[in-house]
Amino acid sequence: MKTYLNKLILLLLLLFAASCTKNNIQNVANTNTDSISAWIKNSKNKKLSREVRKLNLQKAYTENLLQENDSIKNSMLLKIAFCAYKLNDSLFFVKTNNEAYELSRNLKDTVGIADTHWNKGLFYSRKEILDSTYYHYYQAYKYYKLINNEYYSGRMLFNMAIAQKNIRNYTGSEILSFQAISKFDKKKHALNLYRCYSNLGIVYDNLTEFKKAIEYHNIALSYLKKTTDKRTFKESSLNNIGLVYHHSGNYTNAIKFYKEGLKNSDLKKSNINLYAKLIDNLAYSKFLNNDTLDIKPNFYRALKIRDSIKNTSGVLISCLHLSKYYLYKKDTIKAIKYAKKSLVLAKDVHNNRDYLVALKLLSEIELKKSKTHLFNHVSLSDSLQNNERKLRDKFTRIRFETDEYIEETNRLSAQQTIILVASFSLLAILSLLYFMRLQRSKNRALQSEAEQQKANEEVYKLLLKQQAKLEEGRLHERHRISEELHDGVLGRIFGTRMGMGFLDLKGDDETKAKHQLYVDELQEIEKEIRVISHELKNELLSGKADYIQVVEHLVEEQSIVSGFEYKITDDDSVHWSMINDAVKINCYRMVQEAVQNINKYAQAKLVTIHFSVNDSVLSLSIQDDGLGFDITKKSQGIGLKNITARTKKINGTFVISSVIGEGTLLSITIPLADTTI
Amino acid sequence: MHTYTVLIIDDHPIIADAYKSALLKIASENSTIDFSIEMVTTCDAALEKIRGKQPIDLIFLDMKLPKSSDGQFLSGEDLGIEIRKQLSDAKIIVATTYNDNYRVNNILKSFNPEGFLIKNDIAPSDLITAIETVVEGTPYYSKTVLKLLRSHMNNDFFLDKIDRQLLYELSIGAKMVDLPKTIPMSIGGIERRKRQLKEIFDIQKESDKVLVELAKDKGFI
Repeated sequence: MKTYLNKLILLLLLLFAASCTKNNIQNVANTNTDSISAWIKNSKNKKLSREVRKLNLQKAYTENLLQENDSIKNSMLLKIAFCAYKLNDSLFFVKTNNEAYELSRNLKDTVGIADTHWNKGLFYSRKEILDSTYYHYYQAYKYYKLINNEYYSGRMLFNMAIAQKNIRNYTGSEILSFQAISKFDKKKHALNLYRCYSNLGIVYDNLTEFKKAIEYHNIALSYLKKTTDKRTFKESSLNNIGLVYHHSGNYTNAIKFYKEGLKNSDLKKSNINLYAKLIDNLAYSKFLNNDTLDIKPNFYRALKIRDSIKNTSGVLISCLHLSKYYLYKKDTIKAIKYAKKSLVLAKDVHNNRDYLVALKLLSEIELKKSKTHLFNHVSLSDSLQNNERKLRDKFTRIRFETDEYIEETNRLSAQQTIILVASFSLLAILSLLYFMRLQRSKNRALQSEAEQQKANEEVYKLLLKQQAKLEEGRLHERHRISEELHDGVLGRIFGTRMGMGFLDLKGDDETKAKHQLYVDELQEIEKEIRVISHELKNELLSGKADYIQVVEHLVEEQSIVSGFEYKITDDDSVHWSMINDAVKINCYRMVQEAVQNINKYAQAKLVTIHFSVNDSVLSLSIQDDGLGFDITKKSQGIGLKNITARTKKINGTFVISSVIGEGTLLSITIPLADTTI
Repeated sequence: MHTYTVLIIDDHPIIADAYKSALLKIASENSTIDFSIEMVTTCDAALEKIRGKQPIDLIFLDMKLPKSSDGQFLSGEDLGIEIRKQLSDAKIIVATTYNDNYRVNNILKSFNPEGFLIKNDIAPSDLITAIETVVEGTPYYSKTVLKLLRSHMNNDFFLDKIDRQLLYELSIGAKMVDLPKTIPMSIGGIERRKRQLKEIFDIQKESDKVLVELAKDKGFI
C-alpha cells in the first residue's frame, strides 16, 4: 500500500516537472522578446544618457539577431533602426535599417519595406540630402499605396511636399500637399491636415499669392482646433501669417499677428526658438513700418536668445536685420559688421539665400565695393538657380523613372501574359491540329480498311460467282455428255444389238452361241453406259451446290491441321437461297476465323457448327470441346475482333462463352429481315 | 392372212431396221400375219403419215426426236398425243432409253402406249414377244415399267405434276435460284413445296440429296 502511494507521488512529481519544463521553454521564448522590447524601451528613455541608450539598443540588436527570421524579429529590427535614427547613430541606423530592409524583402513584408524607406527618408532629410530624401519617401509612398494604406501614403506625400518646398519647387509642393490632403480623414488626421494646409500657406506665401496663403493658414488653424496635441503650432501659424502680411507689405497686420503669437506667456519656455523668431520679426516689421521705438533692444534680445541656443540660422537673420537697421541709422561701420557676419554665418550653414541677401546688403552699404558684391551676387544667384533647377529635375526624374519602371514592368508583364496566352493558344491549336490530323488519318485508315474489306468481299463474291459459273459449265458439260451417251450412243448400240439379234445366222452352233454371247455383251455395255450416264447426272447433285457444303469443305480443309472431328448441320428452317450473299459470306468468314482459332489454341476433338433460323434471325453457333479460356482476362485476339466487326457490320450480335477445360461456344445471331431478298 | 400397217418413227436407221427385222421375223414364223411397213425419221414426216387419214395399226415411236419444223412438236411424247387424237385405233409401242420414273410416268400419263419398252430391259426375243402381245390386243410393259407401276400402287400419297417436276429438277442438280425458270412458281413457293415434300417423305434435316434419293426409291423420278 505504501509503495503504491510512493509510486503515485513519484508519478505526479514527474508530471509536474514535465509541465514545468514546458512552461520554462515558453518563458524563455517570451523573455527573449520581452527583454528586447525592454531594451528598446530603455533606449527611448530620454532620462538616460545617450551612451546608455545606445548600449541598450546594441543589446536589443544582438539579442534580436538570435531570433528566428519572422515578422516579430522584423518589427523589432525596424524599431531598433528607428531608435538608432532617433539617437543620431548614423552607422548603426544604416546597418540595422538595411538588415530590416533585406528581412522584409525575404518575408515579403511590404509594410516593412515601406517602413525602412521611410526611415531612410528621415535619415537623409536630417542630412539634408534632398534628392535621396525625396527618393525614399517616394518609395515608401509607393509601397504603402500598394497595400492601400491611405494614411501612411498620405504622410509620405506630405513629406515629399516638404522636400519639394525645400528646393523651392513650390508648384510641385502644392500638388503633393493637395494629394496628401486627399488621403487623410478629416476627423482622425486633423494634425496631419493642419501640417498640409500650413505647408500650403507657406507655399503660397513664397508664390506671392498672399490672399491664398492667409486663407490656407486659417484652414490650418481650424484643423488645429480639432487636435489635442497643439504644442506651439498656433503661435507658429500666427508667425507664418505675420510673415505673409509682412511680405505683402501690410506691416500693421503683420505686427498684429506677431503680437498675438507673443500673447502666450508659456512660449518662452516651450519653444524659445519660435519666441525669438516672433520678437525678431515683430521688431523688423515695426522697423519697416517706421516705428523705431523699442526695436533695437528687441533685435538684440532675439540675437542673444538665438546665440544662446546656438540657432545659427536665427543668428544670421538677426544679424541681417541689425545690419539693415544700422544702415537706416546711417551707422555704416556697424551695418558692414553685421552684414559681413551674416555673410560668414550664411556660408557656414550653407544658407545661400541669406548669403545673397547679405551680399546685396553689402553692395548697398559699401558703395566702393558695390560692383564686386553685385557681381558676386549675380553669379551666385545664377548658380543657385541652376542647382535648384537641377534638383527639381532630379525629383521629377525620380518620379518619372519609377513611373517608367512601373510602366515598363507592367508592359513587360503584359507582354509576358500575351506571350503566355499566345503560346498556350498556339499549343492548343497545334495539339488540336495534331489530333484532327490523327483522327483524320485514323478515319482514313478505317475507311481504307472498310474499303479493302468491301473490295475483298466483292472479290470473294466474284470468286463465288465465277466458281458457280464454272461449276455450272462443268455441270452443263456433264449433262451434255450424259445425254449424248444416253440418247445417242445407247440408242445406237440398242439398234445394233437388235439388228444383230434378228440376223438369220447360218453357221455352226458354236458360232451361233458366240453371236448370242456378243449380243448379250452388248446389252451389258448398254447397261454400263447407262449407269455411267446416270452417275454423271447424279453426281450433279452431290456437287458443291449447297452453301453448307461450301462451309463443310472449308471446315474439312481446316480440320486436317489439328485433326478434329466436325459436325455441320443446318435447320430445315434455313433457306439458303433466300439469304443474301453478304450474310452468307460473313458467316463463311466467321466460321473460318473461329476454326482457325480452334486450330491455334483450342486443341479440340470435336467441333460442332449449327445454323438455324427463328423469327427471321439466323443463329450460328460454333462449339468446340477444347481447352477454353478466361474471357475476362485475355484481350481479344484479331480473330475474335474480326468476328465482332463482322457481326456489327450485318447488325448482328456476338456472344462468347467459355469454360476452361470444357470448351468454347461462339453464338452469333444475324437479323435477316433487311438482308433477305 | 391379215396385213397390219406399221409405221416406224425413229431417227436412228439402225434401230428402225431392228424393228423391221423383228416384224419380218414374226411374219416369217406366222403365216396368218403380214406387215406393211413404213419408216419415217423426222417429226414432220411422221406427222404427214399420222394426219394422212390412212389407218395405221401399229406405230413404233421413239421418244427422242428432233423437233418439228413448225416447232410445235418437240419430242416423241408430243407425237404420241397427236397420234391418240388422229388415229384412235392405232396401237403404239414405245421403246426408250429413259428408265427414270419421272419420264416413264409422264409418258404413261400423257398417251399411255400399248407397248412400253425400256431399251436396256429387252433382248431381241422380248421385242418379238412385245410386238406379238400388242398385236393381240394386250399391253406389254418391260420389267422397269412394271416395277414402277408396282411401286406406285404401294404409295398411299399422291404427288402432282409440279412436285414431280421439282423432284426431277433437283435430281438433275438444278439450282434453287434457277428453278423459277422451269417451274411456274416463285422461289418462296418452291421452297414451301420442297418442305412439304420432305414432310411427305418423312425427312427433316437431311439435304435435298436425301430427298431426291428417297423420291427415286419410291418411283417418282
